[in-house]
Amino acid sequence: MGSKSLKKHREYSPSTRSLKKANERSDARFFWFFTAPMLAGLLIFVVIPIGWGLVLSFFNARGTIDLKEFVGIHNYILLFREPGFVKSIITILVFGVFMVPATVIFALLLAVMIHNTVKLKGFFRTVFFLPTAFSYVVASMIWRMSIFSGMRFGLVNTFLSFFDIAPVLWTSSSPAVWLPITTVRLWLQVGFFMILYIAGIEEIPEELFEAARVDGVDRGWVLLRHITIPMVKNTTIFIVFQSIINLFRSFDEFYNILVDSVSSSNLHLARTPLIYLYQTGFIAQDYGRGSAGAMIVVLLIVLGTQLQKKFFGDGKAVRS
Amino acid sequence: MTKRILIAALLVLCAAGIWAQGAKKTTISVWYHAYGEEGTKEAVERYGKLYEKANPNVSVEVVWMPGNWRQKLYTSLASKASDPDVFEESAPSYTWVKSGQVASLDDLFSKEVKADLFPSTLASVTIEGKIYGAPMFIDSTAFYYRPSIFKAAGVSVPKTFAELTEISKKLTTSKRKGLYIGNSAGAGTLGFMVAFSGTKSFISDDGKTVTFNNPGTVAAIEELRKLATSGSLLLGYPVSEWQPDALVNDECAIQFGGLWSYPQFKKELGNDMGVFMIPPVAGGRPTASAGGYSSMVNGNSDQIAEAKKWVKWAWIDSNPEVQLDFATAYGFHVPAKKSLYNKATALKNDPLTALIVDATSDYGIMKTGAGYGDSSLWDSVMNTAFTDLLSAVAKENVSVAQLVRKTAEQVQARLTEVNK
Repeated sequence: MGSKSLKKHREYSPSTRSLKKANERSDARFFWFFTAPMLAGLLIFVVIPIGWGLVLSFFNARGTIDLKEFVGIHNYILLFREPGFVKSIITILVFGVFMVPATVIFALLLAVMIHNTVKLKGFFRTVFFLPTAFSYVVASMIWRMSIFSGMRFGLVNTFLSFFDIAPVLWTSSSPAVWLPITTVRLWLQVGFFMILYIAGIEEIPEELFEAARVDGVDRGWVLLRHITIPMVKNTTIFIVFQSIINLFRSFDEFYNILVDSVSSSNLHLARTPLIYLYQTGFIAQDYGRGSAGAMIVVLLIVLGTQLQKKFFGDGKAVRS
Repeated sequence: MTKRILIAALLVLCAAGIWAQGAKKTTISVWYHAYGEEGTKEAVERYGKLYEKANPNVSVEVVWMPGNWRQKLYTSLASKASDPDVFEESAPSYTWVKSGQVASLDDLFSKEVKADLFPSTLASVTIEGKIYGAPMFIDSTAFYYRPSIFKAAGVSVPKTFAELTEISKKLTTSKRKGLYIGNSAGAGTLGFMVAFSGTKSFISDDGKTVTFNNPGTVAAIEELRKLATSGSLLLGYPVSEWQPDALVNDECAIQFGGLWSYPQFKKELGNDMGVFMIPPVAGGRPTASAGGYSSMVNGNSDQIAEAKKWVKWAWIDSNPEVQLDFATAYGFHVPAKKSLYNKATALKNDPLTALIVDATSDYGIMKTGAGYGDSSLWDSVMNTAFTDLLSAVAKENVSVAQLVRKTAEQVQARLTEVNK
């Protein structure tokens, strides 16, 4: 607001016109001064690698990152013929169909509950947010080795033994493996999204709820359905967007829950696209095919977010 | 006063710099993956110091890489960095040779040295007639068990793989499982060895065709599946089979494990300890895994000559101070040279270790290529496909014959690609 009124004031006084121009010039200079390091970083670490990856994906680059032999879309064809890669995409999509809604629902529920807590609000908020600061790798190891250990003394299996249920091989059999994977991810992610929702809920004008109460609505569910959820739509859009991106970036918790020693691996139970590409690109040193796969993942992310935009909007129009 | 001290300090620093310049030290960086046995890191650092003493113009920088070392190493090699100068891997890969990531060490091996090395080690580092690595040692595996438990249950050491499954079932009680072979139920060293028991090879000698799509492999993998689904395996144990914990803690009666863990097993179990090799499948050949590491020189290193000198000193020339010490003083490994094995009293005079070493040298399948292959063309894409097959067989209700055929097609497609 302040700058706008200042501008107006300047326009009324012709003597300051040259000063204004100088100001604009220095504004521009400051703009570049402050953003250049960021833009340079973006260019060097994001734009150029993506471009290089795109180029590399059309080359035969086994054991080298040089552009030696142009092969067109050969790498892409090979990938789609590879059952492992196709399976990894299906795996992550199925996982996403469950995971994205679950993330949104749990984050919203926690936020609503904490918002309505009378006592110890700050305490609960901190407790649920804490896992966000936790390492994926360490969390996965705790999940694999203690909570979901396949032994009879694993935490969950101990609990099951009270009901005379035999120990379940949580991390080395399907579909059991999905429980540790989804829970560790929810535990790690939901806290952060919950904070976003709390911020969103606190922004909702209290009058709306009061008006509803005046109209005789006092059931929490109706308030949630007709006031809270529509009012935090922008937050939801952001969370869905972020969850879709996180989905395709899945690596750590899958890898660390499924691989438990140098040579024994259960990866085929739930291999994600990134794990497949890690094995193809970094371990098999097939950088051409690895890059082609990375491009496909990028495309899928773009596609996913575009679909979301089409159905839910991009969050711009809602609040104006 | 302080000013004077500062100036004096600066002068000393300058002098030191000039002196260091004059000495022109070359630094070679040697990368190791993190060996699990206590004292190994200190040992390789000591080897570096020994070399520096003999070659005052060289300093040896030991880089110890815990965790995902392969990714770091492979990325560094592919980006043509000069670092590392020397590194270790089970075997050189065909891709490395083709793209110049690994230097040939052909000229370092005399006739005597070649004759002294266990033949399979030399074969695993030779690609298209040239040697690319200096075999450091061989890693064997075996089944460890407690004779007292065998005696109480009235069972004896199995002669066939089917017998192993039977014994494992017999030894399973409510408190103790029969056998521990890792948490993927054989999708690893053991599974590959069982498959090898049923087939002569995975890839033909000319490197063109996949050869494991045959009834022998299918039958062998069927036997592995019988074991995996017998209900007698210890699964979900938090410590891998490469450490002695499962058997030592009485969670199982038999455990698959590495020769390198032998000293730990011995320390914990004392005299109540026996070993036997992987029994062959019905109608199959006996197999034993022969892993280990070879020392290699980065093809893009700025100082290949210096790096080769180090490799020659450490692993090719007669150097018991390094080779014998490394093989026997920490975990147990078999020295790659027969002459040194004969001097390794710790291994040779113990009937149990002697049994493992003899079997490994008689019919061990030396890790070649990536993972568990028997050809330098076997790469990690093929290895992953086969590991997935072994893993699926143990956990899913799939037709083994069909899966073997499909995997063979997949590996063949990759092989044709690599050969192009």
